[in-house]
Amino acid sequence: MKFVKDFLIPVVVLTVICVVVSTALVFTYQATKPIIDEAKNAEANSARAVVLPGASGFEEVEVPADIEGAVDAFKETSGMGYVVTASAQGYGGPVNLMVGFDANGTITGVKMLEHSETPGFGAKLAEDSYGAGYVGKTASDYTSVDGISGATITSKAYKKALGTAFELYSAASGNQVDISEVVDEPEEKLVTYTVDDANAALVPGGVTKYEQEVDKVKEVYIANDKSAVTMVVTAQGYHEEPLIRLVVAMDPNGAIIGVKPVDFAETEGIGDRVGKPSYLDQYIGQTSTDAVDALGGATVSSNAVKKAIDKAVAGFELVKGELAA
Amino acid sequence: MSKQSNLKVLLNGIIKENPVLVLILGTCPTLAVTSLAVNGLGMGLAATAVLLGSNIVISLLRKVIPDKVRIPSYIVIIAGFVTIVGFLVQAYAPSIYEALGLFLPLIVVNCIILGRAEMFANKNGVLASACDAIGMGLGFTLALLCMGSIREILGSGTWFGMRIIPESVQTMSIMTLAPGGFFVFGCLIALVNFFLMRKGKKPKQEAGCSGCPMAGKCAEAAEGGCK
Repeated sequence: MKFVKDFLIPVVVLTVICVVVSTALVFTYQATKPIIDEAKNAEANSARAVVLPGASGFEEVEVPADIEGAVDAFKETSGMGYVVTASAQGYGGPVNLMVGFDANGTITGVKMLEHSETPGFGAKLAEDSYGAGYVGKTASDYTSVDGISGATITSKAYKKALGTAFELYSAASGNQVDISEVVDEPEEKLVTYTVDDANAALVPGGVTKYEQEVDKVKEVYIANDKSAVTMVVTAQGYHEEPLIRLVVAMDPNGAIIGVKPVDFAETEGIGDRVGKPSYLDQYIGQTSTDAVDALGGATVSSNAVKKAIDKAVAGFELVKGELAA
Repeated sequence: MSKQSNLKVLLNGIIKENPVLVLILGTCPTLAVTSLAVNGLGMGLAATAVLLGSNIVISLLRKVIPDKVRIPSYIVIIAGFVTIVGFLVQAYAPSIYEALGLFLPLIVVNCIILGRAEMFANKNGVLASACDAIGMGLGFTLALLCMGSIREILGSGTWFGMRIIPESVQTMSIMTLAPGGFFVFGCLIALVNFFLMRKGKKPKQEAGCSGCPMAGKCAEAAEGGCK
């Protein structure tokens, strides 16, 4: 009896429960499947009509399988246009776009289907008002629509999916279209100089080394025509070693002509953005460092640059007598 | 607990033993789906339906299910109800189905449901268990609705899709993200605790030994509970 009570009954009870539950599931599935399918179909059809206004019905078109990101393509039954769905990798997951085209390949509507973009940022592109900006665009000028700032990755994915949509349209309709590519802006590189190169870049007329010691400044060079002074200054950046080393050129009025990095071993992608021209060139024309803001996410490196340039500004007061007024 | 009247059992779940805000159960779906009020309501009602079904069935079967296999049995029953509710929601409320997404099937592992099965339904009659399910379900729904409303109004400026805060006012996007969820959750718990304390009722933080799966083997349970 112990065997029955300890092993048989639990097994039987659990099995019976599983069988009963499975049966209930089968019946529910059978009962709800037609409704679910119908709802899905109706939703898909009405969504297609949203991007191709006036469409009555759709039939699926076979498209070549080698188009990357292709989901499906439909032809409006009366031949007024096409609706295709294309996908591209966004920030939080795939971004699926349903795009309507008239018979000539002009966009009649764009709708973002499911997506996992961040609310308030990438998800802004899912709003119909953003898609409306693409209505009337063709394969040649769709890239001219602006993305949304703060949602660069999603914006790029959006355009990529649109490019795929044009490919799908081309395949489905047989019309050849020239699809303009989304061109990535070339990434700005951190370029470091030697002191001599920096001097040559900042003061084209050539410089002569100033032999006297200037407080806090490592080296000082005076332009041969006495129109500028360049100073080599250092400050500790994010890492203890090596120090950030900059060449700062100033005109006789104390305004900065330019700042070039010599040593700039800050963290790639974070602090090293501070050493790039887009940041350092903000100092051009300044007589102090107050007006230039630190770069978000790179506060330590920004402040180190500021500190180094402050030394040059202080050093300038000691050597400005050497310059032609 | 079995001595309480059914009405009291039902009311217990709404405030005094609110599963989310007092017992702190089911936190994961609470934080995840309440970015919009309608999602909170949908999730709450779906969980209530599952809870009602599973509580009734488990209470009916409480004498039949051997102790050894009770947890697997509960899970099979709960999973069955969740899948059925999932099909029904998908068929009749597809927009809610999409909004809840993964969290609908995850009701299976919602600890409120397993917790009520273990704490209440397997010790009480059908009617009391049904009342408990409705009370707990309503408590869960209300808490989710409350959180969803606060987060939607502050985060998106709308309530059930209606615009409450004019569009010219910048909304706090963070409220619809995870940190906002935690923030509102914490504030609501504090609020409920405040009211329960002021009424002189110490909030019931522990489920007591009757709800503990180790109670049978625990020496302290025999001596009248944990210190």
